[in-house]
Formats: sequence, C-alpha cells, structure tokens
Amino acid sequence: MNLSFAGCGFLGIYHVGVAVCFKKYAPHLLLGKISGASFGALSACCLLCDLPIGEITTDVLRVVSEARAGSLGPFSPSFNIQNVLLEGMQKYLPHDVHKIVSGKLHISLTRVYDGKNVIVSEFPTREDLLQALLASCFVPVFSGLLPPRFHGIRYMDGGFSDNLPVLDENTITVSPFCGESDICPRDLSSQLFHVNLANTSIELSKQNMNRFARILFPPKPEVLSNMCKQGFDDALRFLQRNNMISCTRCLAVQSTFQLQDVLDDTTYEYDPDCEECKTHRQDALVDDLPDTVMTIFQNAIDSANSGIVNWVMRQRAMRYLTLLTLPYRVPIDIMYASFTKRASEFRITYGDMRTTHDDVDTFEHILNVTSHNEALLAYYYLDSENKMKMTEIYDVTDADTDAVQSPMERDVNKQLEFDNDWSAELIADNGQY
Amino acid sequence: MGSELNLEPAESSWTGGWFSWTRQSDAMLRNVEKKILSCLKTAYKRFYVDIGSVVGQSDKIWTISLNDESPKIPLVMLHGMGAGLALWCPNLDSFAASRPVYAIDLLGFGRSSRPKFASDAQKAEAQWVESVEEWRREVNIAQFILLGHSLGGYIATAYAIKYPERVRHLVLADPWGFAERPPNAYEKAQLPLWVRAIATAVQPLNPLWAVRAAGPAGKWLVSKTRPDISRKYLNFIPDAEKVIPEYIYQCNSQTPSGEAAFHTLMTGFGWAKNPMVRRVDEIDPALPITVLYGSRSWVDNSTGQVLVEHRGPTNTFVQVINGAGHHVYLDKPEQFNKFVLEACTRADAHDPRPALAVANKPPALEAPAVPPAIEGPDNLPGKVQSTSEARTS
Repeated sequence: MNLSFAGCGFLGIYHVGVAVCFKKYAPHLLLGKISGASFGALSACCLLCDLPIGEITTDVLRVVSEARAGSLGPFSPSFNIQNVLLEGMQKYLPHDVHKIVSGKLHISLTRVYDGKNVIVSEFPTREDLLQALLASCFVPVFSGLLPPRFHGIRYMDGGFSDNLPVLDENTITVSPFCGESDICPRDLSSQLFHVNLANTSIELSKQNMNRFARILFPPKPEVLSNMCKQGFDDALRFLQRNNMISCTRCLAVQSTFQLQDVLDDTTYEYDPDCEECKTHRQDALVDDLPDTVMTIFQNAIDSANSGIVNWVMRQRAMRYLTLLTLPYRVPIDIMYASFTKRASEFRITYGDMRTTHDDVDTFEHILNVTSHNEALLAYYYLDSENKMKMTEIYDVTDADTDAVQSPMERDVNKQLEFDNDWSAELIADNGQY
Repeated sequence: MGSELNLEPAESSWTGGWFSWTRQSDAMLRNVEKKILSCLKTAYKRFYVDIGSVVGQSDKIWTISLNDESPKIPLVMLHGMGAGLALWCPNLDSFAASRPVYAIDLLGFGRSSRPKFASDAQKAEAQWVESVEEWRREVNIAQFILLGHSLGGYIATAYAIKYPERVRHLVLADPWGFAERPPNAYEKAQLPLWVRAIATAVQPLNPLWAVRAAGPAGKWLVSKTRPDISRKYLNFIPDAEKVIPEYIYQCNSQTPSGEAAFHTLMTGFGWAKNPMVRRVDEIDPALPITVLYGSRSWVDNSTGQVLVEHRGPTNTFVQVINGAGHHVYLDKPEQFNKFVLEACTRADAHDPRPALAVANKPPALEAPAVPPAIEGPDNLPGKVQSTSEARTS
C-alpha cells in the first residue's frame, strides 16, 4: 500500500499530525512507497527516514517563526525559504538518506520549460536528493527567481502539475484541503461543488478558501497546532474506518502474510479474538496527539504570547504603527538581505555545481576522458555471446582537462579536500571495442 | 419556453457572433451527447416526452431508453446537479443487459425544457416530483426501480415519499440534501473577514455562475477545474478529454433554470432547506432502499446510518464503495453496477406492493394489484414524440 502527500506549503503541519498517527497506529503502512510534492515530499522523506517527529515539528515551527518575522512576512527579502529548508535538511537528514529513500520516495516535480510533470525516485547521492526536494518546494517569485536545477534541468514545485502523485490504485491520499482524498479534514459543509487543481480535489468551501491563503502565509502557532491535531484525528478516523489498527503482534503476523495489499475491507480484517487488538482500538478511539508534540506546540504558543515585547506588539496601536512604518522597514530589510546574501552565496550555488559534476557521467565526457588519458588498467574478456569486451580503468584525480573537471569544480575540489569519495576515480566501462 | 429546444441555427446578428456562444448550444449539445452515447453497446432510443404544463407552458423531458422490450421492472435514472443523462454511459450497458433502462434529463437540466421554477423550496421540490410523475404517466410505466445520484437522489426520495406505490426499490447514490445544517456559532470567529465577504458575495449567485460568466472561456474553465472527470471517462470514450468538458459546459451554459431551482432548495453553502432527515419517517417503511456512497465523498455520508436507524436494517441496504468519491458511478463503475444490479435483483424477488397497498391510501390510481406488465412502445400515447433515431450496433 502506498501513501501520497499533497503539497501545501505551510499547511504541511497537517502532514506531521498524520505522520504521528501512522507511526503510532499503522507503522506497516510506512513500508511501501511514499510520494509527494512540495512539502508533502519533505514529510514523505522524513517519514521514510524515521526521523523523530518532535524534531521535525520544532523545525517546521522554526521555519514558520522565521517567515513571520520579516517585514513583509514570508515575502520579506531577508527570508529565503530555500536556504532555510536546506539548512534544516542538512541538519536532520542522515548521511545515507539517499540509500534509504531511493526507490521508495517519489518526488513530483514540474519541468520548467514545458510544464510537464516528472516523478523522481532514484537518488544516487545525498545532494541529488536534497536538490530534488528543494526543486519540489520551489514556488517562483516566492522562493526566488531562478528555479534550481536537478540533473541539469530546471524544475519547480510539483504542485504546478501534479500536487498529489498517485502511484497506483491502492494509494492512500493525504491532503490538508477538504475534498475527495482519503485523509483530509471534513468541513461542516454539504457543498456539491469542488475543483480539481493539479490532481488535488478541493471543495469550494469557506474553510478551504481560508486554507488556501495559508499556503504561503503561515498562520499563528495556535492555528498550526490545531491543524496538526486535525491531521492526527483525520488519520485516526481513516484507520478506524478501514480496520487498519491492530496490536503489534497481529501486525507482525499480517505483514508476513500479505506482501501485496489491497484497499479492500477483507485484507485488513483484524482478528476479532485478539484482546490486545481490541484494547488497542479502544484506546485509539479517545487518543489525541502525543504529549511530546503537544508540548512543542505549547512552547511555541507561549513564546509567541508571553513577554512584554509580544504584549506590546499585540496592542492595536502598535499594529497600526508597524503597518505605517512598513515603507521604511522594507528598504532596510532589502539592504540587510543583500549583505547576508553574500554570505550565503556559496550555499545557493552549491546545487548548481553539483549538477555540472553529474554531467561527468554523460557519454561525451567519458569519450573525452578516454581519448585524453592513458588507462591505468585494462582487461579484456569474452562475454556470454563470445564477443570481445574491454574494461579500462582511468585515474582522473589529477587530470586537469576541462572534460573531467570544470575550472569551478577544480576550485571546489581544492576547497573540499576532506571530501574525496565523489571526485576520486571515474571508472569507464565502455565495452565492445 | 420552447425556444431552448429550437434546433435551428441562430441567425447572424449585428454583434457579429460575439455573444452567440450559447445561442447554438442546443444543437451542439445534441451532437456532443450523441458522440458520448456512441460508446454504448446496447441499442438505444432517444426522444422527448411532452409532459404538458407542469412548470412552464409545455415542458418536454429528454429521455433515453434501452432494452425497453424487456418485460422486467424498468430502472429509471436521475442524474445529479449540473449533469445530464449522457454521463451515465459507464453504467447504462450493464443495467440494460437485464431490464429496461430509462435515463432522463431532469427538468431544467441537459436537453430538457428550462422553465422557471417556483422560488419557494417546497414548491420547487414538488414541481420536480410532479415532472417525474408526469413523465412516468406519459411513458406508461406502472412501477419502476428509481436510481438517483446527488440532487437526483434528493428528488428520487421526494418522489418516493409522494408516490410510494410507483417505486419498487429506491437506490440512492451519494444523495444530496439529507443532513441537517449543523449550527456553528464559532464560524464567524474562525474565519477571517475576507473569506466571509467573498462567501456573502457569492451566496446569491447560482452555483455554476462562473461557467456562464466566463463566456467563450467556459469550456476551458470546465476542463481546467475538473480534469478528473474527463480522465475517468477515458476508459469508455476515446476522446473524453474533449467531449466531456464540452458536454458539461453545454449542459450548464443555457438558461440556468434547474440550477436556480437547486439554489432555491439550498441554504448556506450546500445545505438543504428541507433536509430529508426530517422526513425519513414519511418514506414508506415497506419500501426497500439501497444507499451507495463513495468512501472519499465529502457529501455527508451519515445518510445510510440515519436511514438504517429510522427504518431498521431489514429494508435498508447501505454500501460504501472504497476509493470512490462523490461521482460514485464513475469512480468505481464495476462495483457500482454490481451493487445496483444486486438491488435490482432484490427488487425483482420482493414486491413490497401488497404491503404498500395496505399501508397507503386505498383509492388506487390505476395501479393493478398484479405484478406490473410493461406496455410496449406501440401503445404509448400520442403525446410521446418518438422522434429520434434508434441505433443498433
């Protein structure tokens, strides 16, 4: 059974609530493929890596508070969402994350030049994965002007083409908008009309209008906390309705038996005799978001509300004052941003450099290398069809030709001398000569 | 109100055709409907049924019938809000294999007449019920299985309340208008001002106003906002991505009379003024009901539970179709067809009419006490204009 998370910007806190519920009550669902776009891809990645939810929540709240701090909110020049996200990912994702998620994580991207949807699931290196995740979160203008590259092609937010990538028939869809998804908030409304934007069904209700505005403008921590709770409750209701909650022992038995799952009522028939399952289901009926997560939210709410500064800022007069001083604060913000940009230049261009390095794998480069260098080692053998094959091994560590390393890459390599393994040697297997 | 049925091409005017995109739409609607129906494997007849003056001066109901020679109890299908009979194409073949099937465009929708309905919710509802009853009388069916989707489900229920002796079995597919509007005192505090402002501004408009306001871009708007519907039809119609948005657009770009009536029935954002929950007890307890709804549908799916609670489980069958949304007949057509056929088999086996006849007013209209014999099309009254083409494949 696969999961799919809808992209939704700052509403992504909803996915955190869903993730908490799945981890607690249906860990077997996390064994399959997980797809997502934008923030959905990020949460999918975190789920696959089994990162501690508490840390993720803290990080999301950190991003939100940074976004709310600037003069123009998330549109302030000093707030660079791409950098903030990259920082978070560098910090929390394990070193071998690309190995863990390759083949499981499916990231939906939109190719910039033709607007077509691309789903990526293989990530040879950690940088590749980070790059794909960043590209999937790139909203033009909001995140920056030039979309990031992934394998040399510019991509932007998957939400522009397929916001809820469905891999096959048995995909559980998770969306923070009330609509036709498996796990989504159920608004108190009986509206018959809904739209289908980029594969995400969105009911035309007042609540959804409000949510839509929250995609790019993060709300207060109180509202975020409620959204997270809602995610947890909705996921729990889904599991209850589909009989997917069992005790750990029964789960272990189930997962050894059924390798392919179907979203049928029959497959998840829990053992009615198992007392432990029963109590587990009973507990789940009244369960709420775990305390660890709730405390984090409570802290964020408290820190946003307590203190003399916050009290002053909440006064109506002060709010008008901040609005009036906006024209003066924005230029200052821009100046500050252009100064700090110098400092973070390296991080932004980092991705682009990686992609040029990836080009080394193309055929032209291999051809260039082989014609300009002497083979270190070559061996010949006959393959199964009795054809002569040759494998040559080249040492290109010190090669100075542009074919191997661009001047920029050479510089980087000199700076990153501790990081040897990816610039080490290129093995060219160009059989059949 | 016969002008909408006028198939003559519109004459050119001084506006140079700039405002004429809806002018020809009945001819266009006929063509596009024919294209969709060409995917059917069963032979069908299409005709207008003249039901006289029910709402307007002379109302006509556009009907398609399949396999009407069969002696079994016919199935009558009522579509949902903003739809038309052609959207049943994934289901018609399967139902028509065993019994006569009639699908109609509800009065005010599709190719039927578009008279002005009453502006009172109860009256508008009664008008719709009467139009279905008049239609039944004209087509001369004594008893039938009534299937309604969404708004059609609401009308079907209202019909079953008024004329229980005509309905052999009621099948509701994700029906609209059952739940009571819950009081939400906090709504004002929860929503920002701008959202409430937009909601208040949109409230007096007909639900699909945007499609007509978009003018020539309406078809594009439909295909962009609901690409999922066309995609689901791809299994049945090869060029669905072109035909289905065109059909939906043409159905809704004309005078929005059915839509206005739906708007009359509605209060707030999509709630019924007279929800069926209040009237569940008025449905004959002997009348069997099958409720089908999709697990993903956002229309309140407590309908089934409410019916079971009020009527007991013996006469009410509730089925949830996993993975299906509101358009349950389209999302999972095989399962939907299976459940409906099961309901039809139950209807064949069990005749509630003796019980109904006792329970209801004895002055039977013209209902014979014996199992219904379906009159062949040859003794249809002259009012039925069997104009259109019969098709065999």
